[in-house]
Amino acid sequence: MTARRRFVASPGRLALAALALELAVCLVLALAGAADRRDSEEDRDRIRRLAARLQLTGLTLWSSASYCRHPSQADVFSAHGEHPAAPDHFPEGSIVSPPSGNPAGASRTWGASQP
Amino acid sequence: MNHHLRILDAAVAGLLRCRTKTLVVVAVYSLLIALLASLLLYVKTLRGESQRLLATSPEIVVQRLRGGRHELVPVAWADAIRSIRGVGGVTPRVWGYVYDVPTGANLTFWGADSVPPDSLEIHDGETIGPDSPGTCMVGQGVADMRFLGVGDRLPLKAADGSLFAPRVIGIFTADSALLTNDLVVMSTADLRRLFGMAPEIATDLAVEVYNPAEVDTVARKIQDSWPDVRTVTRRQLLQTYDAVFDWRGGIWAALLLSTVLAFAVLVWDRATGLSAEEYRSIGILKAVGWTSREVLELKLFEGVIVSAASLLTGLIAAQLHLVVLDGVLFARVLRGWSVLFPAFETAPAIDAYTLMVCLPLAVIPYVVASVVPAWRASITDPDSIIRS
Repeated sequence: MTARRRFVASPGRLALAALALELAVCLVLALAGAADRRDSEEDRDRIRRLAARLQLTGLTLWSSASYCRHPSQADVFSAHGEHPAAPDHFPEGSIVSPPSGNPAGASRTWGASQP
Repeated sequence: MNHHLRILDAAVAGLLRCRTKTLVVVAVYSLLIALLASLLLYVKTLRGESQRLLATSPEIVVQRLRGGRHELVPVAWADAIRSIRGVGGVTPRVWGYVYDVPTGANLTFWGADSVPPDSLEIHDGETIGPDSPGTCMVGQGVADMRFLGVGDRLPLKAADGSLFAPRVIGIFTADSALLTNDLVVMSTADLRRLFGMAPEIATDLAVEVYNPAEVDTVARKIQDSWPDVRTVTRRQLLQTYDAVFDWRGGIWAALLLSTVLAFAVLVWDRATGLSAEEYRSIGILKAVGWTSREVLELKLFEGVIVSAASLLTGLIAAQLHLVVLDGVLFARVLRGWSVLFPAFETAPAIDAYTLMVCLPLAVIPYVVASVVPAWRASITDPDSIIRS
């Protein structure tokens, strides 16, 4: 029996080959992702320069309410819920974490430790 | 080696005999792993981007509060803060929000005296200079939503009710959408006119500190000098984003984990009770001379093949879900009601954290559930198994 026939006739070998193929695809994806991130590093530097020039302090992810658009710069209570994590007009406002530390402190940032 | 390969052959042949059951288990397990892995990777990407992109944000932002609400800051405070030892520079920032009625989007307006030219898409021959009056630069999301191109005008209603229509002289490149998607940048003077803000006040103050180790000290001195201000340091800003992503990711991970655990319990319940056919096949194997060790090896191979196939298929599906389908299954929930959500590309990634979360969930329950009942059956007398 040739090696090829032995391989085809063995379901165990075929299963191992299928698993190895899947593992190889995972590795290729991981390597492609790493290469992609390396290639986009120059773009990131450019964006960082822009952020530094404009002195930006928030991501544009949630623009439906001011306290979601700039979570670190907003009032520590929301428009309708009166405190973070309360049922809110905006779904994203409902699941922003409540402030940690002393809520009565002058310097209050959600999730940040107090200086 | 050949001996183990033969047992592996028998294990795969056994799985193929009940191919519907095997396929359903692999498909459901893969789907759950794919959802969990793509959520972990999505949140990790967002957290990483926020840490990288906001690493150049101001060291300290000084905001004035009145009655717990944000209040505009006198620009004159900048000179007093500049005199604190260790402070490099203080820049009054003018920015705010405008609700755009035609699109239902909340736009962020930002005052700036200059913008790096390489961050803009501009037509040949165009000159940029936001300090030139009556011009603005918009993010990709604003341009798409309002059908704006370079040279078009963006009509706005100023604070005094008059029409103000700056000309668009540049559109921010799509790769900076995470920072600029809903942004409209114009000269500070134009923005003051739009918002009706006097020249002696600003939205807040951005403070540069020479030595990062002195940031907290400078922040404390500022708060001591003006009791009605709050300071937001860069560290706090980054921690805020960390907390928000942890919270959001945590909620969804908790929901998904409970689903995975429920499925694991189901599989366990199914696997711990061997069917009569499985019981008999173990008895026959023992009767024809298989040892208990070989029976256990057979069941171990079955469990490892199913769980490893589920794990790897799930990880590959997670990458496809994120990279090709842009995380369509949960992106809507993560977006909330944002009309202007930035299109940002997720590069494929398989990291140790995702593996360490998914591996035990996929492999351990199924392998244990396959081996333990088989061990109980394999130590029983084969004659009594076959007769029963």
